[in-house]
Amino acid sequence: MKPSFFSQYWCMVSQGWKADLADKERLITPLLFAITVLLLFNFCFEEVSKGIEGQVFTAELYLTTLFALQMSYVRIFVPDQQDKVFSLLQSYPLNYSAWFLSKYTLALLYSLLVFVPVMLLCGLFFSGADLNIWSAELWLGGLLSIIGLSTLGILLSTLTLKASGREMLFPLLYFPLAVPVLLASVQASLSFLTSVPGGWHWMGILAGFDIIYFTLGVLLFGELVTAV
Amino acid sequence: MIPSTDPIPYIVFAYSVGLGSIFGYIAYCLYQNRKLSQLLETIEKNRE
Amino acid sequence: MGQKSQVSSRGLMAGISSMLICLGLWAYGLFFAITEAHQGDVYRIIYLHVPSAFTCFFCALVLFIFSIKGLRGKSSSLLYGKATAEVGLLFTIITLATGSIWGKPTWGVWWTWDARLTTTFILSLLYCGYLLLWSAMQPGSGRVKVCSILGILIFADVPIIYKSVTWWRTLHQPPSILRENGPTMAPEILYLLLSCSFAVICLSVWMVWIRSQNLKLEENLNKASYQQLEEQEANS
Repeated sequence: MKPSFFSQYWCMVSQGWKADLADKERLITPLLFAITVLLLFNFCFEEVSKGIEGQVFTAELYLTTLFALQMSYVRIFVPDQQDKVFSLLQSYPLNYSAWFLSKYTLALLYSLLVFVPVMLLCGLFFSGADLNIWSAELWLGGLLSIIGLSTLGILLSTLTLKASGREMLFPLLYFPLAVPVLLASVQASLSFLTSVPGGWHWMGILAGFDIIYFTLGVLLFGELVTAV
Repeated sequence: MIPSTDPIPYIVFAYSVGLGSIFGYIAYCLYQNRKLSQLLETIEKNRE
Repeated sequence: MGQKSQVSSRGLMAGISSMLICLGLWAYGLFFAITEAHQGDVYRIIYLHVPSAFTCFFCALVLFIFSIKGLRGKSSSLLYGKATAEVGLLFTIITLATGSIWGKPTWGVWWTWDARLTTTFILSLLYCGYLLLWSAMQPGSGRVKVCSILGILIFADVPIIYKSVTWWRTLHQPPSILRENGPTMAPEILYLLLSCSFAVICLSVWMVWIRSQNLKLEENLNKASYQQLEEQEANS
């Protein structure tokens, strides 16, 4: 009997999680990288003058997250490739949407593991500024941006799986395609931080982008895994 | 308001860049086509 | 030695005709078209800049069509896709360069992070990414599908990037041709601009065709070289 969609999904999520836990460096490295980038940002900006603290905060937060997540996403299929799980899964009569969703769930989890500490550290570094980092809208904006970035990350990671020099190629494709999500999340967060109206407008746009990317991900993932 | 700067250098610069790129690319394609056809023909002759 | 070219004389004639039409229209735009009331003569860059901009976005559409064909299993469409991405990149660079040159006397700066400039810039990066992915993958059905999917992603992302950047900021003049209440341009300028755009799009189609012929030739050459090597090994 063919296992149900949910059991296929759950099996792949739990196996993926176990495989990643076995190699904890893979989970910790993007976070350490993010902390290093934050440190460098603070060296570059030095004393941030009043009035632009919100802009610098959002720029640091989202750029650090974007750079660190790129490291996470490019390696999302590494455990599968090492144990030849990927080619085995390709040969099974799997539901590709379940496969996509399982990878997507793991990517979301890893993204949160980077985003939450980065947000807290940014809040700590900007504790002298009058910024409300505990506003629910700000966190919701971050979550929506991660939802969009994860879909792109999974798609592009699969896309570049068999490409030579994929570590170099991935960011070249990922950064330009992530522009709409980055732009909308920065604008939404900035308006919530500085209490300028228009934040919800950008949140709506961000949610729209997420839906488009997610739909593309579900539609194209099956084609991709059969091709690579 | 009409800009006070002399427009000729800008127009010449823009058209040289644009037409140079387009016709340069076309010339390269035609040259490559000729070269590749010659090579292919040589290989076919050698095989015969 | 007889030089048998893959480009037929009819194909060459089509190319030469579209080149001559383009050159004629550009010459008319440069020397005979009326001077624009607000910008003066510098506006004449429009006859190169706007058709190039239309063409680079048109190439994204053509790339999408070839990508759909590639996904349906037509492997030759990948060669056309690659040729389209190359031509698209060329026209994107021309759009950026001519826009920048036009921007200096009109806006006072060579570059600004305006919506349409930013979108075109991102499109050029995406075309580069497509071409890099094409070269980074081994030939075969895998490459056809993967590149086709990237072609679809690029086409889907272009309007999103455009809209998001437009909502972000725009300094560029609002659309002068495609607007609800009709074009704002003088009819003479508009008709010439549309003719130029049509001619440049035709030229770009021919460029895609000739480049794809070269890619096919390269593929045949590779096959022939392998066959020759195999035969030599078999003989020895």
